[in-house]
Amino acid sequence: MATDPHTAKAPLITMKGQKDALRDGKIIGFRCKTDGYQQFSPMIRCPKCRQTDLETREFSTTGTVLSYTIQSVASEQFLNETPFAFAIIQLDDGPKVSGWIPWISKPAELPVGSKVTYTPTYKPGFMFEKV
Amino acid sequence: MRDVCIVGIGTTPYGRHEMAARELMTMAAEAAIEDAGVDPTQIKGAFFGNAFGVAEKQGHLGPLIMTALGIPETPATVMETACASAGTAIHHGYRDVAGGFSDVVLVGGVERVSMLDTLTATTYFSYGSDYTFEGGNGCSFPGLYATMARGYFDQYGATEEDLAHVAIKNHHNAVSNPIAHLRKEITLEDVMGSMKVADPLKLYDACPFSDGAAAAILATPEIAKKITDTPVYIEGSARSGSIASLHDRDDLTTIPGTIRAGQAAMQQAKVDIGDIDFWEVHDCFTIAEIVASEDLGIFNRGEGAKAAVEGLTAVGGKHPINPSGGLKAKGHPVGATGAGQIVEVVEQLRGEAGGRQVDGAMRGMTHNVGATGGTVVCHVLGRRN
Repeated sequence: MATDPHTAKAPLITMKGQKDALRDGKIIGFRCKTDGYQQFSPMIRCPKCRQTDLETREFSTTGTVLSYTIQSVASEQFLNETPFAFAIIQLDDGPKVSGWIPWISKPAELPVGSKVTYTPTYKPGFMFEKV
Repeated sequence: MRDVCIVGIGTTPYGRHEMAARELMTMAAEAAIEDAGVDPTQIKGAFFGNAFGVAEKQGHLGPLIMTALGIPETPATVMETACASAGTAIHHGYRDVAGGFSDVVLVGGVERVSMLDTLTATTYFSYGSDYTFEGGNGCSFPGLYATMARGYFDQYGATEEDLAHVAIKNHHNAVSNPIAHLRKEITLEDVMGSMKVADPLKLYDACPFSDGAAAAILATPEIAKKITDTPVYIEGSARSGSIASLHDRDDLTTIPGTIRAGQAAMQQAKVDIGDIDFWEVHDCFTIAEIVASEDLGIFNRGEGAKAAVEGLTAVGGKHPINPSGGLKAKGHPVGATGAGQIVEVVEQLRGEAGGRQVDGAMRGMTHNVGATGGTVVCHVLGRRN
């Protein structure tokens, strides 16, 4: 292991590592040991307390839709998925995450507050389905 | 720190162009040089915004532009902060003059994307999001702002009709703007009947994909007084950042970087809301103008949605916003937009804005946002008699 103080340290988990875990049905992110702040996006310093004593943590795979949009015009990777919802989801035990929900064509199909669960898929991104 | 003046402005029309980004930026820069009446060899540095140059298979735009301008020895830097690229370039040009490194600099920005089809452009634009977590989950740029809009509706009870009035007002203003991309009046029925792009946002809530370039010449007051009777002072110039991804933010209805950059620019200028005659804000989508108007402190939380409905933000209203037509109707050449806002404010302060002139305008403020607020740049510009 590198001991030179000038050698960059690898993050506790890389984005590749997060994606591998997602394939196994696990949502793994970061938790600040100082103030408990949790984040799914990469971090090496807590944006709240600015401390660097972090750990990885497995979050729950169920959550609640906080807000969303229905994509009727999508980018290349999602061309064949329209219409679908892109959503910001509050995990039941964990932070907020971004994800997408297939087969949503109108707001009545996904009221804010809907319960969703993460579902591993060969498709791109992090797919959640309505419970 | 030295005072900095804007002594010249230039812009291309916004819309579709056959010309490459390097040609558009050269045209706007030359127009600014001629407007300023400076000897081009006085320009000691250049800062340009550009976000999607690689879409034209061309990087390192700076020297191409300086070569075409006939001043190849002048160092040029292209800056990328997504849709705030030109605002960032202007801020760094300002710092160059204010800090005493250069007496005259060229700033501006350019974008050309109209050669891309809608699918390719939508994909490129999504690269400006946190792609792993947002674009990579199928979210387009309209989708990000639509997610903010639904959060705003949920929190404050605003409606799609409230948003529509922002589009109607900005289209009306653009009719009087000879360089605007979309110069036509639209009705409530037009907006409400337009196709959903990213629910709840519709086509008429969104700015167009525009090509265009805009530029300005910055100089010390000593030089400004020699070459122009109408110098405009940069009274405040500030940037701030925000947490990059929407899902990591505490609140979807505010952009913290706007609050910070707006307050910093106003504090530097020593002004309050009541001292500012009009704003050019970053209305890439109708919801963005409403959120900006609250974050900048023009309206209280939740009250921005009714401002366009009640005519408060019209030219002639109490707090005119986007007399140019804004990104919504003047157009949004991504890497040029922040410079185009500066061009509009200078035209207004010179009294040259024709049918969209804000009467007696002495001070205007710009607000330029990169992505969903990861970058925000604000400028306060003033005329001194």
